[in-house]
Amino acid sequence: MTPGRNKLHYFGADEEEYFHRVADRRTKLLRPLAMFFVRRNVRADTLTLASFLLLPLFFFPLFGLGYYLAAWAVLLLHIGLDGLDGPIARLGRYASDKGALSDILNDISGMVVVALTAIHFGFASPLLGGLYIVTYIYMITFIIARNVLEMPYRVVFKSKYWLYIFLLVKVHFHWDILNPFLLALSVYQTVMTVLGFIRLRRHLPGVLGRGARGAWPAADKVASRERRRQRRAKWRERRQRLWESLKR
Amino acid sequence: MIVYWMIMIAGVVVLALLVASHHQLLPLERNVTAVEWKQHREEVPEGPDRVDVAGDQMIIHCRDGSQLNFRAPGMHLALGALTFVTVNGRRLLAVLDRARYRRTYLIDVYRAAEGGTIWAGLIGWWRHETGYLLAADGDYLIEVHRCFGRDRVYLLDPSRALQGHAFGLGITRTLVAPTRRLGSVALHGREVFIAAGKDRWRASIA
Repeated sequence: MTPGRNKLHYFGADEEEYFHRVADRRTKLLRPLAMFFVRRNVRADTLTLASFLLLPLFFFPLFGLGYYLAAWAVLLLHIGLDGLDGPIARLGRYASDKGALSDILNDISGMVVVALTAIHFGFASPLLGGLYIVTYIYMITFIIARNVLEMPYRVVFKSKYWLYIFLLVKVHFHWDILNPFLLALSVYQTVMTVLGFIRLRRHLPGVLGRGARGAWPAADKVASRERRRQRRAKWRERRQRLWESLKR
Repeated sequence: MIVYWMIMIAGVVVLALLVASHHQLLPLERNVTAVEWKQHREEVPEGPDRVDVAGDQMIIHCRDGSQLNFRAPGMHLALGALTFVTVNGRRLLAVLDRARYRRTYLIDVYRAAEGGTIWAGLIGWWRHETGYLLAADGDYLIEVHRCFGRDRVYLLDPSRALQGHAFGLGITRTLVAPTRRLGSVALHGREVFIAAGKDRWRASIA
């Protein structure tokens, strides 16, 4: 992790550098458009708020009225504004964790509104849709918590845009890839959540409270954790050596 | 069906309100500094040079006693929104215009007096959007902006703001006013003096 980068994001450890590189490239690419807003003193949070409002106030009713093309245009605008707030904050020199938090909230609520729209208008099963939303939110919560505690997941698959694409396919081509996708992703997200939960449980102290006795794990627990870590490191090393010998 | 149309109409209203008032609602902030505002009874001190406005005519009273006159057509000027600031070693008049374009202009008063209008001495400008008060001492410039909740007091680097034509790019520090609406502001060295009605505060920004 590059020092000074914020921890409020939901990428895995292996993806983080890649995504930061993509973000920097996006800043360069969107520079003329972002500068248009920076020169007008528009704050990145304003675009995040506009992007946040677009889906419940325009995408949902347009879907209900059957104006699907207009609804997709609104969704594209939401994604565009969501992608533009970062470059604006970076070019305006006020990128911060506050903005990152607003961005995460906007990302999640975008997914929630689209999934609820799909359920409400009968394009997704209520059970699978509900399961997908809940597990997605749990997963994101654990990813962020682990990033903040500097123990990130290695790789995370975020399926938000696939949800949008499969909804579009279902609406226009009547192919039901959406429901199997929701089921598969719910299972994946549940596994990631459970892994995150176990890892966090192991990391956190047993008793809460600053002055509480025994707030930190007992010596035998620490020793067994260390043994587990060493064992894993040894396996990883062996795997690496085997992989390198196979490559040769 | 009617429900969906109603949601959309509500959406249009909310977005229109956001577009109209986003500068006040979500003000720009960089390096927000929590200064200790101390109440005091002294008058807010005036700047070293005096500027008077009579209609669209501006009269600059120089330190040596001479006067410079020029016109500022189409501008919405107020006495608290004019100040002298040093930018790159040049002493310039900063004019915060609250007319349509909402810009702060930096003016070379001698060239403006020669040409007869403010535009003859124009050095540069930046958009301030919600600004309404200015104060400066040396190369330190303060712009006060009207915001919902509490006004913001910005310390600006004029050369950065000039380059980007946006006050947001020049913000070096942001102070949150101790009261909702400010009436006047002055800067003496690193001391900020503000007043609202009968109340007066001062704070050190060193």
